[in-house]
Amino acid sequence: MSWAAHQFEVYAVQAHLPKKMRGKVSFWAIWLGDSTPDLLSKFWVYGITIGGRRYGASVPQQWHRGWPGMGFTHTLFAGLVIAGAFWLWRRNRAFTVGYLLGYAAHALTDVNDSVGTMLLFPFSTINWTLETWAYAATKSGGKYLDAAAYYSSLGLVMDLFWMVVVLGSWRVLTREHWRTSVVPADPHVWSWLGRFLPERALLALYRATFFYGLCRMTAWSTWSHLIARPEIDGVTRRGYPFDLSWTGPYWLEARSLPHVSPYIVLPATLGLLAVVYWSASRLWEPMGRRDRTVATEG
Amino acid sequence: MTAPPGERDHLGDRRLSRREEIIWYGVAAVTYVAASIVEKGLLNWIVGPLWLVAVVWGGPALVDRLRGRR
Repeated sequence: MSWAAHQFEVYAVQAHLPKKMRGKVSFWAIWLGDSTPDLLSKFWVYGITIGGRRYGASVPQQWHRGWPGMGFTHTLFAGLVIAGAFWLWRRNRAFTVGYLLGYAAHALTDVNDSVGTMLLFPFSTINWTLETWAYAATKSGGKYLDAAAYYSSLGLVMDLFWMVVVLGSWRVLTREHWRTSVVPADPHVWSWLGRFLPERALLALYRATFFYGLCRMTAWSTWSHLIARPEIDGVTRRGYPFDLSWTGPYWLEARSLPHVSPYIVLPATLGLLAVVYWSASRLWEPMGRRDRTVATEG
Repeated sequence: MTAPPGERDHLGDRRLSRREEIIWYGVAAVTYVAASIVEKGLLNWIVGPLWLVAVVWGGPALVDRLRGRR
């Protein structure tokens, strides 16, 4: 799975909206769309321990990304269904398109770990994975081992990549962008929040997801490499060792599910991303003619 | 001592200068990272954002109060 990358990609989507959508797509919808897959499934991956007994998935990767399991939450199909249902309910294109783009970002970037996602669900339940780094959620290791593995592998590079993408579009984090592009797309939400919060708090709330991603990347990396004292191959080490090889780190068995050849995954993923953006762009105007909020505002 | 009207937002709160923003965001980041290394339960999508908002909202207000500034 990805860690801070899922926080950074929200701003990457916000910063790279098609020109005609800028200032008109809900930032909160992008955030919610990107958050939904893990909100629906991750709680059971690590499980909870009550009275010394663990309650959680017996095979975490199967629950998280497989079928049968909750793997459908990490598919474009699920994003389309939920976004479509919202459109039928509220006829609000700002939210519908934002939600779909956020959801697609999460489902597509999660092909990078060794379990991947079911890109062609419901037509196929086979997983698509680039095996870039090891999926490391296990019953015994829990969140700590998962974090250590991720931040010792190309997963850290993934987080840094998306951080650089956002910083390369740094204006997306400015007060000016928030005022001119974020607030107008969600006027009711920001207006309601503004009844209680001063502007500096509203702006902080907008930037908070990026802040959280940056801090969790820093905290987990620091803990993994400077504080933790793992025993690997019978040797107690000062910090988990880095391993930036493909499907690393070497000191942990990468979890997997039946999957297609990794060589076709990257072009397929990029192709699906292009289809999502193209479809959203083509539907934007027709949705605008049916949008109740646009009609109301004249 | 009060801030000029142009530096006030819709609730009458003082807007932060760029320098103040950098300082308070830095304070939030350093304290959050330090606290969460010790207590990893703080590393979640609720506490993280709330931490930033609380520091950026409350920190300048507390400093202003201590300095006798509105």
